[in-house]
Amino acid sequence: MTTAVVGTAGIAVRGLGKRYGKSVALEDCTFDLPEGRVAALVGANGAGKTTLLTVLSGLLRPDAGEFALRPDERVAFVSQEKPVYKHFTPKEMLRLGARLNLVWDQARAEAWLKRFDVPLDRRCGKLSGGQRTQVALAVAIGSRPTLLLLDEPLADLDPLARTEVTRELLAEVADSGTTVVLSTHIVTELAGVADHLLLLAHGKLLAGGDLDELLAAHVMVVGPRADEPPVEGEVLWDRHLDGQSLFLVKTPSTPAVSAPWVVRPVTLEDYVLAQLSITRKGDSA
Amino acid sequence: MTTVVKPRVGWGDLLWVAWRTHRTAILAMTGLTAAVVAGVFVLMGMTDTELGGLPAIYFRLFWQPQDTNLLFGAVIAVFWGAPLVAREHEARTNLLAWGQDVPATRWLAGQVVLLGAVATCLAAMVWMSEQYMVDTMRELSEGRTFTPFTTWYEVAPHLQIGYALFGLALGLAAGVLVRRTLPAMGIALVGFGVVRVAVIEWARPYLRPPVHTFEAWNADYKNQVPDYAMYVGSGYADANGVRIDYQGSWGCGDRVGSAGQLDCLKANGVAGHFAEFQPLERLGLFQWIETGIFVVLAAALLALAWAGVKRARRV
Repeated sequence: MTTAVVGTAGIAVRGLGKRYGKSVALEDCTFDLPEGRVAALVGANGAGKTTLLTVLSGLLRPDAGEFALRPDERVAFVSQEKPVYKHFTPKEMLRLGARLNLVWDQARAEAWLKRFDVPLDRRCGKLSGGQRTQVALAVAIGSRPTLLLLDEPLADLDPLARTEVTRELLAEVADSGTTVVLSTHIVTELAGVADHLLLLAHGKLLAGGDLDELLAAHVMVVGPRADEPPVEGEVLWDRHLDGQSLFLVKTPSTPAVSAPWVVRPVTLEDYVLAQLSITRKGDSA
Repeated sequence: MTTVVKPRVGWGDLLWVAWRTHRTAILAMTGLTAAVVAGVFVLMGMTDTELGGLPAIYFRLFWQPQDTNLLFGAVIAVFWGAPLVAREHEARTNLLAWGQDVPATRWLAGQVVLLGAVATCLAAMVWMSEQYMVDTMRELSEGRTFTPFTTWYEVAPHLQIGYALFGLALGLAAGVLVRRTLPAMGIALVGFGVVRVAVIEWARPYLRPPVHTFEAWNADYKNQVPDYAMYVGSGYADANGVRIDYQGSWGCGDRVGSAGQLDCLKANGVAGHFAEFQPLERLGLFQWIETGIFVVLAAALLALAWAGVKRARRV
């Protein structure tokens, strides 16, 4: 296994595979992620999101394939457990970050904790789950990474904190050229945050690419109950409610339809749910 | 700009992290060791008038220097070594500690160097108390026969340090392999006890080929093992001094004490007694050889832990 540097800027992943005994966590996973992107890593539970992030962090050795990062890439990884030392105070956690990293921005890390009202001198074991998440994020942000890997960063946060964290994260990385890969299964929160999509199912990359391009290449066609939509293009997914049919159609341009049919743009949520339900159907077939 | 950039993460950084992580364990262990050491000093001063002014701790409680030793090494193995990496896995903090700009192996180096250094100092403290105990006993009990190979064999600083480092490495390796603190503690405790006792029982008498002596049948029984030597073995031997094991089929046992028994033995080729022992002069050499054994074991276990932390096929 080598991580040879290839010409592509950002992350180049080629045929990554990882299995635990007989269960496949990641299989032939290939994609490119240009630098400076905020990529949403989406997939059902057990899709391989955590495995992919842990491999990219360098902490886990893959069984197959390889990946290349930018030269001198500095990776920060916040795993889904948001681990902190329970007997350390947040202040000491930041000292640990300062000690163990080549680059450290104390003011940035402290500002993050202050922004989210995390007491600096209380032991982490006595903080709430959400506050511990903030401490883990502060350490990652303080190390000024060029690649920030976040596994379910929003899971322990309340709805208000979620939007604030995503906004602050974006502000932090916007002008620094940091590439971000964040996994989640709460798709709605990614609207307006991510500009790249990595969709995993059963350890394989189902779809990936620039989010706007992906969404622009599809439309949702809605109309009275019908077996087929009145438009050209590949039907990726369909759903039939009482008096209504929905079709997710892959088409290069927005097709014209006549009433009562309507064509509406595809949202990230539409797209992800459609893709995931395809794989689920594929299972039962 | 508040960003600080440094060329490398130095030993000071690694040691600070190790100190902050294990501060409580280090202070507790240091306090405990100091208490035990102080206890030995105090108890050695409390003599027993019934025993004619001899220290009661040794002659009444039968507290031997090696008891402290065995306890000390086991505690290091169980409470310092075993949790070192196992607890990181349990709390998933390995993903934090090893995910910064320092590889897991360097992080581990910082942890092992700090704990190893402190364990070395504490082992030296334990040795001092034991040396005092031995010196006092020898002074107060003039004329009594001690067996150096049992009573003060282990009272040597290098040997103590070897035991302690072995304990640390054993616990660490167990924690790296099983990744759970309690099972690692159990393995460390049992493993430390088994290895230490096995070395005492089966390795120590044979660290050098024992001196072999032979006495032909003689009217007077002669003790062949010199004073202060370590007894290894004795028994019947043929004319060349080669050991002969008594066979029940000879039937000599029926004639215990009679002249006939001797004739019976002679008829079966027994020409006299042999003895095997390690002379007192070898005491220092043996201490160094045994130190070497434990240091080599510690190094092998450390290497195992290193590889286990580095391999990361599973995190």
